[in-house]
Amino acid sequence: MIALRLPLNCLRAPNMVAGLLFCFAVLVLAGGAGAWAGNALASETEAADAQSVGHTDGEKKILIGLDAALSGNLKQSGEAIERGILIAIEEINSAGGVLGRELELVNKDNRGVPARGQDNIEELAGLHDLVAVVGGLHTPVALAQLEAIHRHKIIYLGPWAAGTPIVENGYEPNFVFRVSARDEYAGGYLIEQALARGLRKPGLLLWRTGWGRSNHKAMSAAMRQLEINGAGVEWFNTGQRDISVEIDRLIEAGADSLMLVANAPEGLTAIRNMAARPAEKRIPIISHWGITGADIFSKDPHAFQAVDLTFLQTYSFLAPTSVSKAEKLFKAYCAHFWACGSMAEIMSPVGTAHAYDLIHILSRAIEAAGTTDREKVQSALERLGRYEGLVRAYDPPFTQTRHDALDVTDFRICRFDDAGHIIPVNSTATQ
Amino acid sequence: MIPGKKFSALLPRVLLRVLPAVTVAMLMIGIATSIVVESSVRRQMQANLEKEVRFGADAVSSKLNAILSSARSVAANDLVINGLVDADAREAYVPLYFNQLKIAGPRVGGKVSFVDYRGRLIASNWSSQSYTDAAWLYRVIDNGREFVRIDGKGAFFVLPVIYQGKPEGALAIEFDKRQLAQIISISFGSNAVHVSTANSEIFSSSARFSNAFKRGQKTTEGWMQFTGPVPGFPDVHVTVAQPADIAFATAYKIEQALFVALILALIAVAAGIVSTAYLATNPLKRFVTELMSFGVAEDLTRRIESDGATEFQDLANSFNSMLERLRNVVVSHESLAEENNIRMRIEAALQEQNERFNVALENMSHGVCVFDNDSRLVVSNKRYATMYGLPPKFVIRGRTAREIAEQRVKNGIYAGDQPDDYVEERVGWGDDGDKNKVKIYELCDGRSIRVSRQLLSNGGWVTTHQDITEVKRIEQLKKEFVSVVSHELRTPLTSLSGSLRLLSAGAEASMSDEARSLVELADRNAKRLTLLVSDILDIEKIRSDTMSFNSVPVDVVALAQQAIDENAAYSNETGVALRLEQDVGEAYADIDENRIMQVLTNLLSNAAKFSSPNSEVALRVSRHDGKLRYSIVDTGCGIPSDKQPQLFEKFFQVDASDTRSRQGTGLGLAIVRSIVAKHGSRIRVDSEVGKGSTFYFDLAEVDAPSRTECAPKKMPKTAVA
Repeated sequence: MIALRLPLNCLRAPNMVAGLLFCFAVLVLAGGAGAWAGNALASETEAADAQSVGHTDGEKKILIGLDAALSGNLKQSGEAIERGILIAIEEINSAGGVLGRELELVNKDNRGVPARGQDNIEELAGLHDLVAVVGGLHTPVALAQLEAIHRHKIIYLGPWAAGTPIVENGYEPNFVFRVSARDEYAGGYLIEQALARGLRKPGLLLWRTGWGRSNHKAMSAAMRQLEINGAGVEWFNTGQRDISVEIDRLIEAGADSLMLVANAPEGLTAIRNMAARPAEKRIPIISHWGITGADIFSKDPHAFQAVDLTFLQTYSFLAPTSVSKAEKLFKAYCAHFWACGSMAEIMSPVGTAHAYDLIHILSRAIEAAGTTDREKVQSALERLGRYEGLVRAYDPPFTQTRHDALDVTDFRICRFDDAGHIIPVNSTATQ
Repeated sequence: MIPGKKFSALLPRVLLRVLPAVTVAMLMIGIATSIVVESSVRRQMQANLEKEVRFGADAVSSKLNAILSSARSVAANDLVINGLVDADAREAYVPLYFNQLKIAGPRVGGKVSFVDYRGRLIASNWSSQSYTDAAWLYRVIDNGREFVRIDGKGAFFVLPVIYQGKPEGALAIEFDKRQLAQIISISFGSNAVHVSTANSEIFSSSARFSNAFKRGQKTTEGWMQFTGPVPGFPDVHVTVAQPADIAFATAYKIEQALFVALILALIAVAAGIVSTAYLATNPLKRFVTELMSFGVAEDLTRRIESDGATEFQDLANSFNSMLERLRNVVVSHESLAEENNIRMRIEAALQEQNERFNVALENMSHGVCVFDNDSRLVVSNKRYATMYGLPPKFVIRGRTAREIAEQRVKNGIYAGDQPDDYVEERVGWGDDGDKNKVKIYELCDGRSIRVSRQLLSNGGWVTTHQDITEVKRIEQLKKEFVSVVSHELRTPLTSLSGSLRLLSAGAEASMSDEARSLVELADRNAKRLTLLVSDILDIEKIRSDTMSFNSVPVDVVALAQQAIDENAAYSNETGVALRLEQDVGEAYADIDENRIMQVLTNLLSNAAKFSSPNSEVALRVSRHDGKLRYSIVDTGCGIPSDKQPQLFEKFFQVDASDTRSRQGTGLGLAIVRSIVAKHGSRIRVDSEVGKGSTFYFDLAEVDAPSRTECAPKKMPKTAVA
């Protein structure tokens, strides 16, 4: 706006020559400012632009794609992942890069829509120096992308979406590698959490997508194994404005707890519906982590305070595996993004932590492969040695048959404190 | 002219003159009526069609909107939205859901497709083609707007499916031509309904109209039609048409009836003319026959009889009255001779009367002259001429008033120094407006002539001239006599009453009772005589207008108090209490203090005199209609109402037998009236016998006089707000 307005004003200057010179100067300055703003942290930059504008010495950057929800209700999840990637890239680049080349991020917004995700993979596949694509929170998007990922042989790094079939996809070789929860384990873990609290009749409240089905499978299996009978399953749809009927049905069927598999908007609806029930008719909600993909706590703090809500996390900066790594990342995080007061304020921490570890693991694989050839890097990922990561010590991160880096030992149960920060259940307050 | 021929000649003429005009007029009325009928039928039909089009367009609009709104609810259905995200299972449930939908009612199908943000098919209830990168996607996905296309192929509705606040997919619903026609099927009885877009027909209830209808044209051969847009769908138009033969059937029927009515009317008019002509000519014929018979009869007492139309009766009446007048002329001619006789007798009598009048006139001691309304002399007597020394030959009939007046001045008769004014006054006597006027002129030879003038009803006037020189002289002698006698009486009276008072005061003890009563009688009569002389003098002064008044602003309340104080002695004598009643504080009137005091004294003493002992007389000062009023109120015997008008006349006594009255002179109230009149007011009395009397008069209030430093300061009696 300023750049447009100033030239218009200077055309009215009495001295035309001076006016035109001034206009030219303003336009050059405005263009420069735009370029500077665009280069900042290399976000939203098309690869073609990056290659031609960003690099002048002929040595091309290694591109890493990000396909996640960067707009819409769940953009917080995408941004958390992006931040983890950017901090890791900066660490790697400042240490000399990979194979002597710098890493660069290319962003694609899928808005949580599978169709957009598929199209994004097609576009990213066209970029010559692209090694891998980091995915987002949405299991349905990842599931929809599997075919294109394997057709183009693109390494897909999963930092969040937990659906079991994303990794157990039947493709050989499998290009999907994940540092995140796996529903197969998570479902069982959540059921065990209920049992540990003496809640023996959980009702399943699931999102009608591949992610919900993935959890249905896992939770049903866990209940069978633990020999308990749940109160049944209810499915809700994307954008459903009222889930109280489903909750009522489960409670009428005798549910003493609710296993919630939902993303932020529908999760908030379920929590509100539960809070709206009389206090004595509420039952505890044990939720998968989809609800942490956006800041829903601040939208209705009273509902959250009224409901006994615990949820799955794999990582917490408040109880880190490695304090030094956590502090290092926290320092970089505060330097780049916002002056945070405490680690508790890091939004969607699992997204940032997982993505951070994934990029470091990827850079090691590229180094091991000695090339950016995706098939070779895929192979290298399966053969990496032990790596001391932020989330855990990976020993090794992946094997040929195991593309999930995390297991049930990484799981922890968390809750929101009164300020809406995610804290471990055994922790009482945030700093 | 022969009466028999008249009828046959008149009728064809009337018919020829009237019938063509009537026929043309009726034809024109017929044409005008048929035009009016036709245009009003057309307007009515047009209005009906317009209304039906409006109804039809609303119906089509609501049907299309019903589809849109049910489509909207499908697009907002979370099962559908979920299909955007649930890529692996949506094929299983979304088409199932679509099949259960009844988007446009139970009978009409419709192809429902659900596409992603680039138009790729997600789910459908039919084996559809993809809408990938269709032209409408930009509108629906990027702008979030609905897309509606209605044309000859059918209808196509596309609605955005919103996911997390943004259009991420679209719901497309297609109806083919047959389905669309089924959806918007409407009918209006015998009228044809046609629904079309700019270049194709969507629905038509009449194949006949559909074949004749040409798009974009406002008229169709053989049809009346009206077209209007469908609200909310501007491309779609509804046309309602009615076959012209049906539309105008009523109008044609009315026109036929009108034509028959016109023919009948024309026949009726012709018959009417024939019968009217017959009715008119028949009495005329009889009338003429009757008239012709007069020529033979010579009988002026005969009258024409007519039983025909009013006009003929009027004609007969006029003719009869003409006959009457003719007869009268004949009769009066016969009596003329006798009338002449009578007139001669009257003239002789008039002559006699005239002579008597002249003798009377000449023997009058006054001069008399009569002028007509042109101010010319009509008659005068010799006394008039000699009185002013006018030659008899000058004072003749026809001489103007101006000439006579000028002659008088010339003769030196007029003693004044304004001869022109005198002449003008005399000339103007005829029209100065006063009916009667009296004026006294002093002539240069010392004579006084009293001239009285009376206006006549015909505009002239009569003047009577009386030599009053002698009368005036006697009057003057009387005046001088009264004055002299009064003064001459007063001087001895003063010493007489002084002596009597001394006698009664100083030598009372030594006198016998008889002597004392004689002295008292003498004293009382001397006092009365003094009063009488004083009153006579006052009356004389008033009469001769020589009483002087010195009017200055005087405090009327203070004056009233003074009057009460001064009359207290007299009232004590009669045992009557005088009381001041004041409704006003300090107030001033322009009066002669001594004269008003005289009035008040007179009225108070009168009141006291006629009140019973131990009663009260009030002197009230009040404001009345913006004026100051003195009222003297007593509770005495009162005055009968028939006596009240004469009360203020000289020497009047209500009851001459009353001893109290005898003590007065009978002049007091006359003097009071004159003094009050000189102050521009009027004395009045309210009285009732046995209850008392109130005498009152009003005086104009004036501002208080400005006081000089040395004047004594009066404290106001009441605080004035």
